[in-house]
Amino acid sequence: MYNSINISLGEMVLKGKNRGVFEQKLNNQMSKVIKEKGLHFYRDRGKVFIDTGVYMKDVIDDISNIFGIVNISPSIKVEATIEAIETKLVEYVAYLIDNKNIKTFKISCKRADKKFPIDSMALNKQLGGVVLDNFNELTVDVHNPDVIIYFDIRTYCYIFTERIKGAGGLPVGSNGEGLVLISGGIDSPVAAYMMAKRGVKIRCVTFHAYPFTSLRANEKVEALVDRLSIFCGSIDLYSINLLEIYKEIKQKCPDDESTIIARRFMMRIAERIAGWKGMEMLVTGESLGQVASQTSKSLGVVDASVDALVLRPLIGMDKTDIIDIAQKIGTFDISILPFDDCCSVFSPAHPQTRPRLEKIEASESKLDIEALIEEALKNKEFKKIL
Amino acid sequence: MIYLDNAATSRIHPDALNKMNEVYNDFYGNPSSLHSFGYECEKLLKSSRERIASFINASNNEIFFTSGGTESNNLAILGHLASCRPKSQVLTTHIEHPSVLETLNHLPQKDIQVVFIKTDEYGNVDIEDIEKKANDKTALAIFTHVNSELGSIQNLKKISEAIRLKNRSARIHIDCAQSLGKILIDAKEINVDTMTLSGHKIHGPRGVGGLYINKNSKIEPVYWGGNQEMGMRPGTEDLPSIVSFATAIDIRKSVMMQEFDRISHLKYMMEEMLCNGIDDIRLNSGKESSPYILNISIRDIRGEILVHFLERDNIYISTGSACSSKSSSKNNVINYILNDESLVEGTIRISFGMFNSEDEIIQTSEKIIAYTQEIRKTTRGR
Repeated sequence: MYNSINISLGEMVLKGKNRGVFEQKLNNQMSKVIKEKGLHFYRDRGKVFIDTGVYMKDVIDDISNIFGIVNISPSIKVEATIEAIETKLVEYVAYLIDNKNIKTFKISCKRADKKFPIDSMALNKQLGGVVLDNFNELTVDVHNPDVIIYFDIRTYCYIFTERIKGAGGLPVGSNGEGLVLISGGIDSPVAAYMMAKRGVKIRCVTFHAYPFTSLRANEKVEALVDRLSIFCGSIDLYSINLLEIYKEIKQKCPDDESTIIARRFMMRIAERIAGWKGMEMLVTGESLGQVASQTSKSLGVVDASVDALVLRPLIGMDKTDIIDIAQKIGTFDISILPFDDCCSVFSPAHPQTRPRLEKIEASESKLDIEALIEEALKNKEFKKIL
Repeated sequence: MIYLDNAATSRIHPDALNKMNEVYNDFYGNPSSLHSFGYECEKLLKSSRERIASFINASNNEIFFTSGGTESNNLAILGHLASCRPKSQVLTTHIEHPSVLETLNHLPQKDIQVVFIKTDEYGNVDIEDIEKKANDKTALAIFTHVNSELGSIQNLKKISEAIRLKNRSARIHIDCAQSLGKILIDAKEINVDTMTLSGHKIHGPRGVGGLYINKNSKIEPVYWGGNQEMGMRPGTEDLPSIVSFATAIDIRKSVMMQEFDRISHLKYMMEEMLCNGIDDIRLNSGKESSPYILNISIRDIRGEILVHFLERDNIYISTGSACSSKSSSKNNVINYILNDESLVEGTIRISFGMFNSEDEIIQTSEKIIAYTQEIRKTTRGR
């Protein structure tokens, strides 16, 4: 029955002069999804449509993951003439009776094309009359109908009844670029998702300590990033071996400070990588008070290691809420695979929860910070996940 | 490459591989087919069965081919218990393979009680405990001939006598996946009901194994289909694998005794080198254990880290059974035996095979000693 889908772009259309840029970003991402199927999207008087043919369900599944889309409506596209509309309407109502068991209905017409000869109110009445004439069993109910049949009249007329909720948010890339410090855990992939939802183009950096950690742990991070790419588009993944840094910390710094100091190294390395690509923010999956390195004192000391803007979209969330999102976006099942990341191998029995910056800096003065960072960056690995 | 994870699986012997190839190329008929080509294939199947049966002193009609150890354990346990009385009891130990313990966790009968027999710190079954716990409710007792983690060898004759003394009709199932072709198995002498056999631990192919079912014992099938394997395991026989399995058995038959001595020597060498080179080390494999398995715990390392260090030199060992070492819970067998967190974490298993040389053992031992020092330097800190 349906041959086209009708896409509503939500808050993006409110963004004034940026609208064109936003739409362009959205179009880029959408075309990637639909190109594989040999389809294309087009605009009809400002609104975005895709003629899907037989790929209706596939296209809806695909684009419901794209940020910036608020609603998706499977539609019937017909010539914008009253005869064509009426003929299709009769067919469509018969289909709705068979498939949706409707008893009451309402007609709702909107003319984006004011040249269409009948105005919306008159058209509501006329089309309602057509339905009543053809189907004795149906009645009009304007307050609580079983179905509202919408008519969106543009160059063509689009008839639909359903609005499927899209992913919402803003198109990826419309709000700058961010480097996510991603681990194999539950939180950081959710943080990446939340930033992408607000239009941030995501790159990722992950830290390991091979051979103290497993190669499979890296593979797990890749699987998470691969999952995220469904929402975020292609993602650059940098992988950094921190082993030499961990060893130095272990040798020269107090045990209970090792987590914080390692964390500061991660931030510094991330800041360098972000600098290469002109990314304006670092993103972490920290949530206040969840573990020792995530107390307000610890976060303050960690932030002091860099000048970058550090965003923590999960900061006020409970673990259960984070898990809910992780499950929804399909990262949870990957995150709970057993391979250790570098945090767990080197974490001390009793990490500090109230570190003082001066003390940490004093401990760090025993390390050749610059040389360690250079060395770690020299051995980075890079992979583009499409 | 130095491969010392032979208890997980072993490299196929070239003769066994060639045989498999030959059967795929020249004997691809179905042994059940009526025509003469099918009959040729049936003869191959029959001869394979005979050779494996005679190797463990069993009759031809006591050997049933399966897809391997896990299936054989499942088939035996479910098959034995299918006809047991209500509120029966099963005896086993905490150190069995997951294909035994998990099957017992998923029995269709909810009223069966699983009773665990004590084992000592090297994984030897406490015979007195069997005498204490076996009774007229005992429907089935399940033990492993050679434990895949520790290498402990059970005295099957004593175990079966202890059980039979208490209950003549109790069934006994033995998992011989790690012992077949490595230490002597005499079906007539040990007098058990069923035994699990596996091909790929003795340089045979994967995906093939067998279940020995004593001719005086009857178990219910678990699958239904054609009448292959006398209805016990329906489905077209994997003839190439079965013939290859029999070839691996032939090879073991000719080398088993001298290999036992040679591998014992390799294990002894490694034990000596590691114990002299590393302090705070515990041998988890007892003196009487299988020469093919050496299990040790090293304090203040993680076994996993040592595995990753060695893999960079193309040396492959294990932290635990490959079937369970990827799951997040710590190795259950070792946990049960040691009950010491820091030793459990530092547990490694080295398992030998016929392709390992003395030189490889020396090289590996030296590396383990050096890497242990390096890892401890990092994990112990200053």
